[in-house]
Amino acid sequence: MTTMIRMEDIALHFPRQRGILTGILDLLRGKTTAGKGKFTALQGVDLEVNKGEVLGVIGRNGSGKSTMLRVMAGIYRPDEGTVLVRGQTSLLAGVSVGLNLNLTGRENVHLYGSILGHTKEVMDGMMEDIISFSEIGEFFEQPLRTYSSGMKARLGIAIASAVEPEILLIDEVLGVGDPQFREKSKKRILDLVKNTGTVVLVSHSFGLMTEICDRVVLVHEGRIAAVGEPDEVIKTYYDITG
Amino acid sequence: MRTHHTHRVHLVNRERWTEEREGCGQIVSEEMELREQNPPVPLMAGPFHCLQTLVSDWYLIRNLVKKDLRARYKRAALGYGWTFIEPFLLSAVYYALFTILAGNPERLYSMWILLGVIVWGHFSRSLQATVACLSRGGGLIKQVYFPREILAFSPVLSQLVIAMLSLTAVIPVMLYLDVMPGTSIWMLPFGLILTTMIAMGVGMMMAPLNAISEDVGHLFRFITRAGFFVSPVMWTYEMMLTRASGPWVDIVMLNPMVVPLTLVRHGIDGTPLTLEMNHILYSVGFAVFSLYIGAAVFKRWEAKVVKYL
Repeated sequence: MTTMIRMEDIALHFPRQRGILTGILDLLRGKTTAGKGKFTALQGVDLEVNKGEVLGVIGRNGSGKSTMLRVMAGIYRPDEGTVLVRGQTSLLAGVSVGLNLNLTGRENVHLYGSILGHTKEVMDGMMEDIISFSEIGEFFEQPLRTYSSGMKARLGIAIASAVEPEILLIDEVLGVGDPQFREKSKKRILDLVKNTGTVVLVSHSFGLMTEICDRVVLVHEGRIAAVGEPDEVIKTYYDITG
Repeated sequence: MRTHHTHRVHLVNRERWTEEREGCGQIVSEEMELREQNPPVPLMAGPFHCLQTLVSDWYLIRNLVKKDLRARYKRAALGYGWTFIEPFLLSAVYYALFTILAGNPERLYSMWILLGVIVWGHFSRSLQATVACLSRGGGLIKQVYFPREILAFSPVLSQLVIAMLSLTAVIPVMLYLDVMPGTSIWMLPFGLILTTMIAMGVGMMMAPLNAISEDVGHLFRFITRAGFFVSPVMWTYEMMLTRASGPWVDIVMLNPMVVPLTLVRHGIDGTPLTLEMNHILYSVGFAVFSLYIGAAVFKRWEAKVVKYL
C-alpha cells in the first residue's frame, strides 16, 4: 500500500506572547520546545494516510484537528518530527479567503486558482464549469463587491473544488449558501472526494463520517487518541469527551 | 444496483460509494516521492529559492499585482490619474516651501524635485509593504500553502508599475523646461532598480520580525519619514557638495539612497554625473548585499513565524 502522507512524532508549540525579544530568541534557537510561554497544539502525532483512502478527523473544538490538517498542508512547519507527502496537497478551508472584492468573478477565478497552486491553463479549462456551477450568470464579469454573500460563497466553493488534487484536505467547508445550494455544494464536495485519490476530512458531521470515511482519527488535546473504524472511533469520542 | 432505504436520508450510499471509489487514486504517478512540502533551506541558498519562485509562480505573482493595482484606484473617479496628480501636488508644495526657505532655486529644480518625490515614494512604499508582507498576508498564509516570498515580490512589483506610470508625469515638465535626455538615460532604470533592490532587501530582512511584533513596522514608518530629509528629495547631491565637505560628505553618502536618486536625475536631464566611483560602488554593493541577505533571512524564518500570525 502506498503511503501518501506520513507524519512522524509531530510536535507543534505556539507562542503565548508576541514580545519582540522572546520572538528573536525563538527564531535564533534552532528548535522550539515545549515549556513556559508555549502552548502545545500537537504532541507525538504519528499518522500514515494511504493512497485511495478517505480519512476522517474528529475531536472537540480546539483539540488540534485543524492544526494537524495545516501541518499536512505545509502551512505550519512542525517543531519536532517530519511530515512527508506524495504529490500536491490542496486545503479547502474558509472558501472566500482567496477572493478579492475589486476583481471580477473571472479575475477571481485566476487569482484564487493561482493561490491554490493551479496554472493558468488549468483555470482557463475549468472556467465554464465554474461559471455554471456557481450560478452567478451575468454577474461573472462584475466586481465581487456587487455580489451577495451567498454568491461569493458559491464562487469560492466553485473555484476551490474545481480541480482534483492528489491529496485533498477539507476543513469543515460543507454548508454554505441557501439550502438548495448547500445540497449542491455538498454533492460537489462529495464528488470531489469520490474522484480524488486521497482525502483527509475534518468534520463534526459524524453521520457523514460513518458513510464516507474508511478510517477515522480522534484527536484529543493535541494527541491522537484513537484510529480505526468510524463507528468504533466515534464511540471512543463519546467515551472520552463525555 | 440495489439501494437500501432507511428511515434516515443518507447523503451517500455506503455500498455504492465504496464501489464508485474503486480505482480512484490512480492519478498519483509512481515516480512521485514522499517529500517535505516546505523544507528548511540552508541560509545562503535562500535567495536562489526565491529566484526560482519568481519564475515558477509568475502566474500567481501577476494576479496579486493586478489585485493590488486594482484595489488602489478602483474607488477613485480619477483612478490611475492619481499616479500623476499626487507627485505633482507634492512637488508643488515642496517647491513652494523651498523657495520660501532658500530663495530662488535653479532652473531645473522643479523637475529634480518631481523625480525625487516619485523615486522616494517608490522606495518608502515598497519598503513598508515588504516589512509588513507577512503580517498582512496572515489570513491567506494560514489557509493555503504557497511560497511566502511571493508576498514580498508582489507589492514591490506593483509599486514599480506605479513608479513607472508616475514617471510619465515628468514628460510635460521636461517639455516645458526644454530638457532632452541623452545617452545617459540608462541611469534612470539603473537608479530605479537600485532603489527597488534596497527597499526589498531591507524589507525582507525585517518581515519575519514584524510578523512577531508590529513595532518593527512602526519603526520603519518613522525611518522612511526621517529618511526623506536625509536623502536628496528636496535637495540634490550637487547642492549638498556646495555646503558640505570632507568627512561630512562621506557621512551623507552612507545613506545608500543618495546614489540612486542622483542617478535618476542625471539620467533624465542628461548633465554629467559628478558622483564619485567609490560612492556608486558602495550603493550598488549595499543593494546587492541587502537583497541577498534579506532573501536569505526571509526564507530562513518565514515558516517559523507563521505561528505568530
